[in-house]
Amino acid sequence: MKKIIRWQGLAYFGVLLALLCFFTFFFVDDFIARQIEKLGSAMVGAKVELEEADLSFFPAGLELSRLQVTNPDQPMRNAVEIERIAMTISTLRLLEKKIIIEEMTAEGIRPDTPRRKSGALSKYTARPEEPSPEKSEKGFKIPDLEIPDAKEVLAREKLESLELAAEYRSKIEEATARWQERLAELPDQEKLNNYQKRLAELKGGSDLAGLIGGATELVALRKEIQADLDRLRAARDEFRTISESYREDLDELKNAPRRDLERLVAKYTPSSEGLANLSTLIFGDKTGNIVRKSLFWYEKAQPLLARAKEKRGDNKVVKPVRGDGVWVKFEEKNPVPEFLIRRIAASAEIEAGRFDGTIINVTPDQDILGAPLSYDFDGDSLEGLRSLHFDGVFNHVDPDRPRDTINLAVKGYSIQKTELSDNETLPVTIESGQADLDGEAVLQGNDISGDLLAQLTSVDFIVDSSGSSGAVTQALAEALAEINNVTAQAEIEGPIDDYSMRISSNLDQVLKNAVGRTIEKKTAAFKQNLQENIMAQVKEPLAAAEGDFADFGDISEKISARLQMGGDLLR
Amino acid sequence: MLKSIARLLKVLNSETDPGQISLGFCFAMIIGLTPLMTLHNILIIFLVCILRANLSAFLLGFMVFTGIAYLLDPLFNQLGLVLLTADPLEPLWTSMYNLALFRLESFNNSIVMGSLVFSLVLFIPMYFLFNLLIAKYRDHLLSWIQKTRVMKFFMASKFYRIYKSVSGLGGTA
Repeated sequence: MKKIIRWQGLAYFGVLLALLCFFTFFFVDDFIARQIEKLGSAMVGAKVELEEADLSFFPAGLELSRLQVTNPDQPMRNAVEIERIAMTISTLRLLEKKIIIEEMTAEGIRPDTPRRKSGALSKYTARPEEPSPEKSEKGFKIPDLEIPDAKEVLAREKLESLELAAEYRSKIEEATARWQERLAELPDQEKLNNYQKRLAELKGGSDLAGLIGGATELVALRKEIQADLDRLRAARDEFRTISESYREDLDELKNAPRRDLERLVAKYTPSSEGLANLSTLIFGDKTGNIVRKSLFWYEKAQPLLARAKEKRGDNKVVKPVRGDGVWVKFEEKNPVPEFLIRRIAASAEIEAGRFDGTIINVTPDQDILGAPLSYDFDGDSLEGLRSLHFDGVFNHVDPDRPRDTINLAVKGYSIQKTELSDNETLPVTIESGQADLDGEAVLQGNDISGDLLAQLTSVDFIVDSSGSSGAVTQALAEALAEINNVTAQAEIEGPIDDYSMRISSNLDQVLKNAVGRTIEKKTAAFKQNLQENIMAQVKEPLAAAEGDFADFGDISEKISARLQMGGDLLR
Repeated sequence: MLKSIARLLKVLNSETDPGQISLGFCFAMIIGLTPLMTLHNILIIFLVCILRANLSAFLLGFMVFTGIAYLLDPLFNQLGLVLLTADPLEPLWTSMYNLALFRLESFNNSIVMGSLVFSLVLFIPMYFLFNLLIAKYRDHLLSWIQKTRVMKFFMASKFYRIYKSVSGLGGTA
């Protein structure tokens, strides 16, 4: 190697650099556009398309025109379409391979726009339509108001009254027989007559010796009589106790038909308590859809909020989304995230008009930045909407304890022909009305909790009850037609993949009362009929039981008569 | 590809300095084994242009070593990770990490670090090894190959016509 340096090589190198600059200048815009489309499509699961990208070098900046993000579940519609995005990028930070966007402007954001061609990707399959909780088996169903005939009910139900009467009669017959035996063992009329005869003989003696001997016998006889009287008294007391118990049982038996009536009425008539949560039926579909869609897009936005990291010693090993190898991060003197948009000024266009807002600190490395993402949007003077405001914070500064919040306030939203529920039994539409909405939601770790309050005024409900012959549905339809003001509240709570939603409103009580009146009328007629039929069946057994108890009571009279007679002997 | 091999054979069979050919191979080893879009590869291309490294050897070597790199990537990843997470080296990496130039170099990527260290460590030994192999080839293998039947058959092939077509391009690259 006599000559080490090849001076013409400098020219080769210069030509190479010139070619590189040429290609960068002419093709980098297209390259960036395709990269955004590729990465965006992979993230969303449907086509992301960009009409044009324009990279400027001095100062560093990028302008994107007409960005379309397909809705993965409706490939013929865009989830969002943005007319223009312009941003300025920190050149110095680019040298450190960090994309720090100081200011970004997004204009003409339009949600849910139609597409000319399908934006479906073959790799991605749309999510199957999940049955909403309101439509599942656990969900709410309007109870049927058909009440069976009283005779049919009695044919398939056993009456407790009859069973109790039979049991009572058997018991009292057994007791009567037992006491009859007992009565035979007690001093009877014959024995008492015998005592009377002996007393007369002892009292009739005339000589002194006879009188002295008679007195001793008399004392002995009186003791004997007293002992028998004590036995009779004990038997009487025992009988009274038992008799009292049978009397109570008889009273219980007399009440049994009433209990039978109450039990069967409760079993065979609908209760207005079952209509305690009609709000879920009416508002559940709409609210459930909003919650599911919000959570779907929240999951899609996750890569912008946090990235997977693992610690090795004091350094973080960052797993890249794509590409080979791992990136080991070391401590920085002035830590800055690898990707950061400090401020986005966005203006969105919905059917009602335009609303503006800002998003601060968009980065997947909030822990490095030390500040959360926050957003704040406002719109007023919108068509059919007095004002719209929503704000919130996605706080992943401590990756182990993320906390995301959203607050929403909609005032004076004009409702026109809005379907609330397509439930087969109670399809409800709001023909017109005004709504104010206030809501807040917090997602902490994997748990979500949220609250949405809707106040509807001058509301005009339309219920299509033509498809239902049920009296309850008819009653509900009539009641809804008379309601003008509604306050509804939805509460969400639980793990993000298995949350529960509870909806309540003042409709619940109004509708419950309306249906309750219909139920009351039908129930009263059924009750009257059932009572007559029950009494027809239990009348005879009850009378027989009463007769048995009266017979049992005769034993008491017999004991009392003997006691009376015995007592007379000792006077 | 055939042209590149033909050019290489031409260079090997010429009076070109073995050092130029070896240097071309060694630079090719670095650019081929390490990820292409890195800062140090601009330096390598600059050196290849300005130093009298053989361009044919460099281009063919680049293709060969790129293929080898795919096989060795798992090894580079492991090696890079071990180096980047070694406690004694942490102060060095930390200070480099805070310099924009090194950040642009992507030194903190396990494959960049592993493949760069691997190819730099092998650079000088491979330079002398290639020199030795070229000298052995010219002294012993070249005259023997030219006399074989296979070579005679080969000289009648399309590849040989390509070889002949490039033989006028000059041997010193």
